[in-house]
Amino acid sequence: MQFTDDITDSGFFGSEGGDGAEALDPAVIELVDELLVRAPSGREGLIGVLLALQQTFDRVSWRVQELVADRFGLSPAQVAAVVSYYPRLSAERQGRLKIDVCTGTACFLCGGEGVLGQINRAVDERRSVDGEPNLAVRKQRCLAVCGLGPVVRVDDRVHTIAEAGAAEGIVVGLVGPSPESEDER
Amino acid sequence: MTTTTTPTRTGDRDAARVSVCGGSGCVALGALEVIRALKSGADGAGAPLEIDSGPCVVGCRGFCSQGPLVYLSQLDVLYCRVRREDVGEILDHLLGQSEVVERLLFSDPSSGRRYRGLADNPFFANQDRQVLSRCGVVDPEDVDHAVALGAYHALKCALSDLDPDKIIDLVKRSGLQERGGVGFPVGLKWAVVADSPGEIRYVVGNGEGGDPGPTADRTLLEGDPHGIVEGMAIAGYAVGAREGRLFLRSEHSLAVDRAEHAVAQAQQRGFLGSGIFGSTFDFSIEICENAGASMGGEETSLLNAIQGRRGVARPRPPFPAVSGLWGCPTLINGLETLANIPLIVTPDRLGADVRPARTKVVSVSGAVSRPGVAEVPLGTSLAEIVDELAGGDIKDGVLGVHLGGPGGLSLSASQLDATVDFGSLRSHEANLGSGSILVLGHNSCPVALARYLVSFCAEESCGTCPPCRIGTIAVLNFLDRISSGEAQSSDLHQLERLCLHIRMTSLCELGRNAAGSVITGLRNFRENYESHLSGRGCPTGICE
Repeated sequence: MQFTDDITDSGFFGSEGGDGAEALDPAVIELVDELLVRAPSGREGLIGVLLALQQTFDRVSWRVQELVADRFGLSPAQVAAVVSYYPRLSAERQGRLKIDVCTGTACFLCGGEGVLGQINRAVDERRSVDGEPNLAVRKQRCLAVCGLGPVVRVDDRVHTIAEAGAAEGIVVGLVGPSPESEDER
Repeated sequence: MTTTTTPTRTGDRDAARVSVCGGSGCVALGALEVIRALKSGADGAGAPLEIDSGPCVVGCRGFCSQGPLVYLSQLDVLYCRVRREDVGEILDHLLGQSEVVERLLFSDPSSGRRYRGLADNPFFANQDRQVLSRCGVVDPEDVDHAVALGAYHALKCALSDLDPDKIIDLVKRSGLQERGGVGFPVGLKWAVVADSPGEIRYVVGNGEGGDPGPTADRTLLEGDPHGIVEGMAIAGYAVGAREGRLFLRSEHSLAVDRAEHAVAQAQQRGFLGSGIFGSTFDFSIEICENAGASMGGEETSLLNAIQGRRGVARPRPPFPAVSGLWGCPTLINGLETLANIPLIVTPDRLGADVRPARTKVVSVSGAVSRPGVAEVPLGTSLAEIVDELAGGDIKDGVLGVHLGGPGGLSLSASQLDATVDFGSLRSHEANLGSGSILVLGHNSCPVALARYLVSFCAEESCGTCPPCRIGTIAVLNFLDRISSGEAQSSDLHQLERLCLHIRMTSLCELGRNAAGSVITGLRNFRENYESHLSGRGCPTGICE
């Protein structure tokens, strides 16, 4: 599956953790500055900018945090404090293919915790086979389909988890069959 | 459905003869495909359908479990769980070429009976839809439709006929209490903000109810965002604020989109901006998306989040009404509260008799056959809601209810005579909080539920104060031991003491209520807790 992930994949963030001297790709700087124009003035705009960056790059890397800190006139620690506090922001990649498992109260009552476990197992299994980096499992607090729970959302489609093997089916639907099962064929 | 009597909300658009629910539940179940099929089907059928502008996409009706919903308003027929393939038959029915499509009518799972329209469907017939009156009727992305159904009328008359003090007085006399939390009197809060010294004031719409269940906030944002925008603008005028912030949950992406759209449209039409309705009043609204740490919608943490900081709680006083955003007096109201405002401030209410705020939006889920978001008159008993509206079997099928989400409290089946209002529930030491009513069947385990709710609070805890940060983890450890059958009866006593300590010593409401489900669980479901003890494990098998 293809993503508009060129900037990250071509290694612009790849050298972080080194001496830190590498410059960020100008396109990233441009994006941040563009976001700043639209954001509310002052620190109020910080979280909105970080959320937009998270959505674009699937993370807010340390280098990007430094850039954002510079633009907002904050210290990198102040930005890192915000990124590390909020569950939706992260310095590490989360995986672009999100499997949203509803863990709202209604889904919990009908076995949502079990479904979360099933999905996590299926994803872990897949990762152990081919190191699939793109899958992310997110707990969601309510997907608003309370009568059909427990439910899982992938790409804006809701799946009900009724039959065994549904979790594997969802994973295969997202990233295709695992290389192992292809070998078997 | 109780028909609305408010004169400003009776109009209807001819084009809306066919309306499809476009709330997130229905969309997730395939409503967009149904809408596409209806549009192409209607084009084929031509003019006689009079749906030349296409089927009307409306907001959430609250009947989410039965989506996608298609409603034929002139025939009063509600079709449920409609799929693309069914559209042909629905259009045939609409054109009078065939009879009603029986198999798409709502079928009650418990009785098997089918219900044709809204008027006979017990889910709608037992409601009093005031705040939700436009939800499921209005196209939430069309400001003109909202205006035709009465939106911004109250704002207009407030700006032309009423001074701020008069509005605050109306709100006070309406008896409106905060729809969420402990039910603080709204008029009083407004008066404090208006009287606090300062040049700049803010209004914050708190869309972070902190309940991981179906909520009024989402239904309102998806169904009638203009009602909230209008309420915020009136609040701004009354307390002397020129800026508002709407703080929303980012995972409800459709609700956020609709709110952004509504604010932009209101701005375009001059309902927000400078010199609204030719007055000297300026008001603007910014939408702030929460980055995922809700702290249960706790006020001071929410203010920090809006200001671009870590969303952690701080001690009060000073209260936000005196010192909130950037140190300025800030009015924080829930979205349902704000949506009540236009109903109170309308021209026919200027006389002596103020229209009392008489309803509460509740969401019912769990062991019922008709779960959903509904609006009931204050004073309705929990038994009526569970039994008549939502179709739960209170005689044999209900173990109890849990009210108000993670910080809420559990009541046993014998306490269901408590009514939905702010006084009666308090006598049961419960409060309605977000309005969620979770119905527990006999196959559910109160210990497992408490464990789930406390773990939610532990995850949400901002970590500022030790009772909440450490205490919730300690409670979870106890509950784990109870679940696995390792606990003894002395542990229950210790657990209760620990929970009471957390309640007494935590900094904010999240911490104070974090162990509420355990405290009331130990009291009202003592037998269930005891049956887990001394190696016996969970009787329902859920805890394993």
